Amino acid sequence: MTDINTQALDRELKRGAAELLILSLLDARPRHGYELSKLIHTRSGGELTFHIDSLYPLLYRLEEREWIKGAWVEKPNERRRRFYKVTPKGRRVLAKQRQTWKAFVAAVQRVTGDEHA
Amino acid sequence: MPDWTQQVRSRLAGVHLSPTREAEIVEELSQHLDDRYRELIAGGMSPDEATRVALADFSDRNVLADYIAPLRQANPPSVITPGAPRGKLLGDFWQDLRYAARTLWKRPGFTAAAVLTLAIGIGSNAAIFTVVNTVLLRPLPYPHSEQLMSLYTRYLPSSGYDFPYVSLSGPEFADVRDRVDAFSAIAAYRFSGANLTASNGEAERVGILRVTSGFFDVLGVKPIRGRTFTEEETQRGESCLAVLSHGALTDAASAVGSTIRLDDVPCEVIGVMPESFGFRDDDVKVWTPLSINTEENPGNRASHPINAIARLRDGVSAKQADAQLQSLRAYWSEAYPDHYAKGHFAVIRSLHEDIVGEQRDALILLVGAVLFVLLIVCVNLAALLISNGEARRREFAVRHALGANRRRLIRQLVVEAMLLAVIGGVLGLLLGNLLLAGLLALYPQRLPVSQAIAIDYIAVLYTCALIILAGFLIGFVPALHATGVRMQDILRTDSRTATSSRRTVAARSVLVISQLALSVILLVGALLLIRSYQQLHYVDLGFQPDHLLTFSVSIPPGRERDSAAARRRLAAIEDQLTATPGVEIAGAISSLPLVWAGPPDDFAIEGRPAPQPGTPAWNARYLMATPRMFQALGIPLKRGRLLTESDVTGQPMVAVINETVARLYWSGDDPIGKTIRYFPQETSPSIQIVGIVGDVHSISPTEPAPPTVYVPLAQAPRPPYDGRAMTFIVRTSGDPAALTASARAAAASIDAGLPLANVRPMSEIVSEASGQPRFTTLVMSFFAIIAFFLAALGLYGILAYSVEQRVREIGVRVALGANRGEIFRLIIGNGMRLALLGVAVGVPSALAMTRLMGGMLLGVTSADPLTYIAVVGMLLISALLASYLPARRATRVDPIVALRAE
Repeated sequence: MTDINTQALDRELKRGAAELLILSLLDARPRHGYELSKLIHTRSGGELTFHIDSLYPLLYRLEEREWIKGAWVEKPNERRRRFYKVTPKGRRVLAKQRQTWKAFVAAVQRVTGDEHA
Repeated sequence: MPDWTQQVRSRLAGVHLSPTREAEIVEELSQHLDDRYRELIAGGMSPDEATRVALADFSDRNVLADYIAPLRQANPPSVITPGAPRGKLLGDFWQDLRYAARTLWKRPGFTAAAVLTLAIGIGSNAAIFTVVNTVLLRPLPYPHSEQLMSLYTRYLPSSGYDFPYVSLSGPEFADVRDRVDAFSAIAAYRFSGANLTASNGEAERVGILRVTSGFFDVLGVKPIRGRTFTEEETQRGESCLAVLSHGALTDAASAVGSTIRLDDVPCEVIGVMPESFGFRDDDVKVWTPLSINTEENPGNRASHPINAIARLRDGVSAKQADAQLQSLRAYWSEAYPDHYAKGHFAVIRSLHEDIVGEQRDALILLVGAVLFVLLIVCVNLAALLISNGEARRREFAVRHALGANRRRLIRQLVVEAMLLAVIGGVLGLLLGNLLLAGLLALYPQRLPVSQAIAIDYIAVLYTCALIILAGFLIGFVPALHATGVRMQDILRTDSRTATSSRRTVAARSVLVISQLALSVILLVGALLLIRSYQQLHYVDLGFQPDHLLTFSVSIPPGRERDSAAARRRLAAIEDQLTATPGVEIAGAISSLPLVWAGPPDDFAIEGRPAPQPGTPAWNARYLMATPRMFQALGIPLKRGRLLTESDVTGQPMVAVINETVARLYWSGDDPIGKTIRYFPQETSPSIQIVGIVGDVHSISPTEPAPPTVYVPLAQAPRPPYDGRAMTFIVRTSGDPAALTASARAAAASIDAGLPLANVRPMSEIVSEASGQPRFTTLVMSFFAIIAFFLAALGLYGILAYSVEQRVREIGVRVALGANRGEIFRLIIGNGMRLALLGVAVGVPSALAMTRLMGGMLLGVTSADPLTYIAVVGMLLISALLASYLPARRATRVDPIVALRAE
């Protein structure tokens, strides 16, 4: 048995979680970056915060993977904003990630629950 | 509202984004910061406070660049010049090429040195390859020449002889012709010579090839005029017919039907061969018919005068022909057990192999040698380019920052090297032409092709392959090396770092060591050849070749019917020569040492039962000589007496034998006074042995002296040796060549118009006999010396470079109290360490590789310790010299200047 590389696991979990968060939030409707960061902050009750310099690179990466698509939207009397929406491919990934995540959480719970029983 | 643009932009500094994309990102992030700021102000924060908090949204480290850098948008396809066509192979290549040309142009010194050494390396290869291609690879100039075979018989050692290839006897030739079905044509041939008298009466000695009727069919060449011999004509042989070579007469093309005189016998010209036709010896001008089983080609199975060639039938392989010859072997050993039971049978060998086989080893050795030279040249240039790359690091870093990726930089460097190689290669082809001329002038054999030898398209193709290989070798390693550092680091540090130059020195050291090792191998090879060539000169030939002029004269029956009178005329010429001022003594012999004299003749010893059939016969070369010959050639008398003036017809027949005959056939007995009788015994007189003379190495300097019997020319020699063709040996105290005119005059005073053939000093014949080893030795030494200098240059280069790089370190050492002697020893020690490593790698490799040269060495083994000591010594001394200049420079480092310089 090899030791679990806890650092790497941590990193992967966080990245996976971040992707899941963004895809879920965009699944409802297109949003721009600032809105995303606020939503994550408020909905997590202040537990989760994205730094601006990790949020946008993450968006760009998802865009390059063609999971989401960004587009500039112009409204009268306002500066143009870049809105992101989930692509069909992103939706498939989201469904799969949700499933995985649920299974993962359930598994963790079973383990930790047993410990408490 | 604050302007965030600068804040964001500075965080994207190291990332290669397209300007549009960067602007987009800046806009998006600025908006985010705006939103945040506005919210904070709305929450009641002061503008300053709000700005600070908004910016705190960035992490402490600049993760923005780190996260964006791996994205595709941050890694656009590389361009060197903005606006150049992207990703188009040819366009990029053209760009690389132009850039390379500019770069090389800006460093003329380096470029010139590189191109010149490459030209030497590639040129030598082109020249040697051309010779190899012509001699070894190109098919013989006959149609379907792969079907041509030479026929021989082989004696296995169990037969009492050990000859891999012996010519055939008449009956054997007839058997192969009649009983073996594998050949579509078969022919016999025999070289001879004759005086060819032109219509204006001038005579010239020419080569003659006597052939049976199938000869031209075997080779598949037709005459351009007239016809060749019929079967019946070659059998008959009473009237003389001739086929001429294109160059035999000035008007050869129109000679069909005319009559020429060969040895003063009129011969009808029936055909003329094309200009390109030749067979084995380009000196042959006339073909005449040869019949099998005549007096001169006796029809017994023990006499082997027939050279034969054959052409395989279409679809028959050499192996199948060999199988048929095996069944002939079975027939022979059953029908003639005396001759064949113990291991004597017919074999074939490809004509190509037969003609060029002996030259193969030497030529392959030279190919290896020039490839080594080219390898050393490449290694040398790679080493130079590595230090060059060091100096160009900043250039690469800048280009990297401008968007060139590593692959592109490597390609650029390889293209630069390739350009060098191509220029060097083109120059090399020109140089190769010169080298080729030199090689051909030195080449010992008459090359077996009648056409001119020049660098042809195959050689050019080979050279192109070498150029590409060389360019790649030269460019690739330095390119990997030069681009194998983090480019950002280079721009950040202002000067070259100690580590990178240490890396450079290490990489170059490996190259220098391999260079030295290669040159050890070449030097050992060359020195071994030189040592065996020297041995060749230490060989006592058994006669004194200096101050001798030789020439041949033939008095054919057409000139003098009576052979006794012809011999008297030859004796008169000898007298006249001896009386010529400047001549010490002149003699005559039927065949000179080191000139091919035909096979030995069998004899019987009277009073002794003849050797059993199948056991070795008693035989010896049968040479006719005048009494003065021994003194003229300088052959010493060992016992008994020499031939004298009184040994003439009517007196008892006498002979002088050499020591080998005495040892072989009278071991423990005294041959003097014994008598021998040549075959056929019924008609041959008995000959009494009166003296023993020293052995002469008459086959080649390296072969043992063959058994030889000398009989007086004046006593009626036995047929077919009629004593009409003799070679004169004229000893002088001065330059033998200066004697040519008076020798001609002496001969003319006895017989005006008698042609003199092969007029040349004996020393020339001796030197020709060692032509192949001399050629190999000279050429090999030439290349070894080039390799040696290049390796020494490489060593010097790396030491000079490392001193330059270490000026600061040396300065510190001196400042800390190191004295000049220590510094000097440090650098010399570095050089010697490299040299010793080169020797340590080179000597075992040389030991392994020179073992392949065994067949070319004489008197030295491939592990000759003296050779190795000499090579190692040479290398270490040159290493010492190469280290000296850099070491002296190191001792002159002024610590203050050195330290300030940084």
